[in-house]
Amino acid sequence: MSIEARQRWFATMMESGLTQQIFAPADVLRHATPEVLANNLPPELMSKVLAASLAAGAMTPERVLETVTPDVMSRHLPHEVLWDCIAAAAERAGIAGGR
Amino acid sequence: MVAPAPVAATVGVEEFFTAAIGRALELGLASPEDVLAYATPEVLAEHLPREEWTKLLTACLGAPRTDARLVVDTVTVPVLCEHVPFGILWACLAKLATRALGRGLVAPPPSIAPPPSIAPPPSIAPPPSIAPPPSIASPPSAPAPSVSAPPSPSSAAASASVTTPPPPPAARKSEPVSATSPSLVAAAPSVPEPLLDVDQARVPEPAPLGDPPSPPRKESPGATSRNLIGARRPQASAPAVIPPRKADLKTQPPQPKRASTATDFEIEADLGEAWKKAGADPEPVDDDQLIDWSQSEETMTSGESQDRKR
Repeated sequence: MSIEARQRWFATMMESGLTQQIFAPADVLRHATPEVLANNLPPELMSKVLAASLAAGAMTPERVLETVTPDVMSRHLPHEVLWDCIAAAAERAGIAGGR
Repeated sequence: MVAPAPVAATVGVEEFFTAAIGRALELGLASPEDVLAYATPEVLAEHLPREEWTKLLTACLGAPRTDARLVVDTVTVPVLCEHVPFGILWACLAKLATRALGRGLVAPPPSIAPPPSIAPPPSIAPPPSIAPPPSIASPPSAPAPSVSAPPSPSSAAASASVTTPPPPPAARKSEPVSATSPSLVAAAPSVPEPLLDVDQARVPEPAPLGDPPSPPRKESPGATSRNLIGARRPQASAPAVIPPRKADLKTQPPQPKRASTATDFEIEADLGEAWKKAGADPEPVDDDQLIDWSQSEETMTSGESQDRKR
């Protein structure tokens, strides 16, 4: 099991989860907290996030995820964090327990 | 603007599972067997519509072999995610994620640690009692017991691969000189201790003693005293090694001899120094004490030249 394959898989799940509204950007940031982002994102991405927020006048979860895309998340954030986000959303939606 | 996440329409969930499981299959993170482990035939029989079963049966009948891949390829992941309960799909996805995250690999690490410390010692200890006779006849026969021992100590099957490395360290301990042949190395440790019993069984096997002699001599400089004794005993002629053992068996008499030898050695050293001193200060010698070497036939290689020198 290569790391790249796992990264692409998590990127797909995060992308699908957001697209299918199984979880929202705010749900992602509940797990990918500022501390997690600060400790794992490279400086250039942090700068980009801040610059985009300054330009827009606000830093919202949606705006953060415009920069921190599912692909970026899968590359830089711990996959355990991403999976916790997915699992929490599934539990919240009642998927985990059954249909 | 925070979107209401809990909404999660059924279609969206299906799409999510389709993407997640389908992608896992594409990336090799999951296998069709993983899917069918949850979407079992019973589950499929209960939830798949008849038309899907018709396709599946047709495909299975037409294929030379029916396996999980054929089922998944025929039913397709989207159809599975459409009909199989989300709870089952979630269980499958959770297992895949657990495996991908390495959370399911908690057990293996502990199995890796113990083998090196546990495996080698037991393998070395038992052979001596069993292997003595064969070890003398032919070295290669001894390694066999040592090899059979490693697999047994490790309880987990996964640790079997780990147990194989341990034997080498044990062999290294036993054989300091030659690291070329591990099998021979493994045989070496088994030889020494059994030799005490081997001496009794040594009579019926005189022939094989010819070959073994050479390797033990090579090991003698670096090997322990037990290894030396064990290696030389098989040899027909090993006077230097056997006497000390007989002395040890007879116990007390030889020990004083050892003490005397030590003193003798010191005396020799003193003589050597005295000789040197004598050379430095030559004592007066009478002519009667001198020997005319020219008269002795043994020393007359070139008598004329010596006479000329004198």
